[in-house]
Amino acid sequence: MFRYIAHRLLIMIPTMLVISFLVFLIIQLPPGDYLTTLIEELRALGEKPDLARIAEMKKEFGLDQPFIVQYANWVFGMLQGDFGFSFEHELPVQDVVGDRFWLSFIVSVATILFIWIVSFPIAIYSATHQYSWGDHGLTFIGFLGLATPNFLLALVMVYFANEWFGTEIGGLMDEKYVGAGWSWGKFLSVLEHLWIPVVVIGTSGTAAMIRRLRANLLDELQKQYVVTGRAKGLPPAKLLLKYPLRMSLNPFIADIGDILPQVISGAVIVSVVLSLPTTGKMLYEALLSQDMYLAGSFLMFLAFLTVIGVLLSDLALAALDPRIRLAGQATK
Amino acid sequence: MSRLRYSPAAVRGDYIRAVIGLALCGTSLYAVWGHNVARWIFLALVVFFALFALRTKLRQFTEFELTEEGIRRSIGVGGASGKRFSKSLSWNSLDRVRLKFYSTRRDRSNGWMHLVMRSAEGRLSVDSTVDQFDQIAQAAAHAAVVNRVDMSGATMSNFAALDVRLDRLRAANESAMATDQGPDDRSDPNK
Repeated sequence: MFRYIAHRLLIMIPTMLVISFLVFLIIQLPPGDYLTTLIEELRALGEKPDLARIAEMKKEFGLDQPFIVQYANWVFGMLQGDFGFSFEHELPVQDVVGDRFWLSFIVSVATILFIWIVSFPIAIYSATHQYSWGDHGLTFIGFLGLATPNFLLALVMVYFANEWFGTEIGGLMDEKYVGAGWSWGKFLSVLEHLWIPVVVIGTSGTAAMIRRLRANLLDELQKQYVVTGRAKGLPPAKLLLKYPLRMSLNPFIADIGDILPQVISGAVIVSVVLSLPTTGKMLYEALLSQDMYLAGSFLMFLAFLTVIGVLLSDLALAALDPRIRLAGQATK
Repeated sequence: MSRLRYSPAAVRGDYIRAVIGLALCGTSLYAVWGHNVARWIFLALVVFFALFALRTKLRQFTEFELTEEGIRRSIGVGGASGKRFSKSLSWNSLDRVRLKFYSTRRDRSNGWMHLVMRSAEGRLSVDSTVDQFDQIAQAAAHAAVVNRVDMSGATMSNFAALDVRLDRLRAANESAMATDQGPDDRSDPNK
């Protein structure tokens, strides 16, 4: 395992470097930069841009430097915790992001837990009661969840919460805590508001996970070793939990790498609809306005989550099921 | 008796990995020394790759002696006249075997095996980068069958991939036991 971790870490480090280069390249690809866009906007409004100030800013932020120098400065800065300067907000990126990073993290982790906690028992029930009324009902609800876009569910929930309970369900905390420092009251307020975005964002993921786990478990339950175990009189619960369930859990673990960035990027429109103070809306606006360091930092954050998630899922898979694929070949 | 060592190519590959890891993480550690969180992350990585390099160094001087009675691992430190640390495991006392397969590729091709053997005497592990690893795996599988050691599905699959036929070993073992018991003994299993 030690050797395996060393191999995986050595793959991870250059991967992050390549991703950082691609992110920087992509955010630089559109013609011009934030400052040239600003000049165009001012001209369109009939105002005269202060070219001397803009030239000064260009020099200050290194935008007059060659691409590779800008990239090196950005990466070196990120390693030291300096994510650059947001031109639009005229603040360092870490000050702009502020609490949003942690709120996004809380929403994402809660959503993933929701997906697993809900989908796990439903999928087991559906697989062990295949073609029963319960299975058909849950499958129908699952398909509804898959087919309903998150933002539409958010709109529906906003409408009915207002219509039936007369309450606003937007935001992620009470008004009085917005912009305030972290406190026990603020934390409780976040928990109170958390369930709505979690349900909205997690519904489609839950439906997809139910379908996948059900299909995997059904495959396992039809294998010969299960039939043999049943014939030998093993108790049904033991027969289910000992091997088939463990084997069908592999996709759960393999998904850790993909699910986190999916949840964060999938929550962009939901965060707009529900007025969530998370990173989704800010990323969208940063990409539109070519606020390159802010957008780049968000994209690197997503990439970092993906790479860490893939690493964790690979390590967990290697620990749980270190089996060779017979089509593959073990070499020295 | 066979004397087996880790293949020089594999040891060389691990040295290269350790050096690259130490260079990348060491440079990054130097760059981020002023930043608290990043400093601890890269420090942990540097320590990890330093331990990896040390382990590779030990593997370079590791030798396995495979006999019919068991397996013995010895690590020579300080050249020919230096100390040798050794650990033995006899096949008779083997009570747990796990054969794992690791691959850094998503299709799980091009990986390596890791054999872990346990007994009351302790634990001994061998990577498939050891020359003639098949011989060790075959001997461990044979001992596991004779000692009636439980093996996981992954271990059995991995033995099958190495062409170690556990079903044949079991059949051979049962036939040998039947021969040892004799015709009178077979008629009364309580004897």
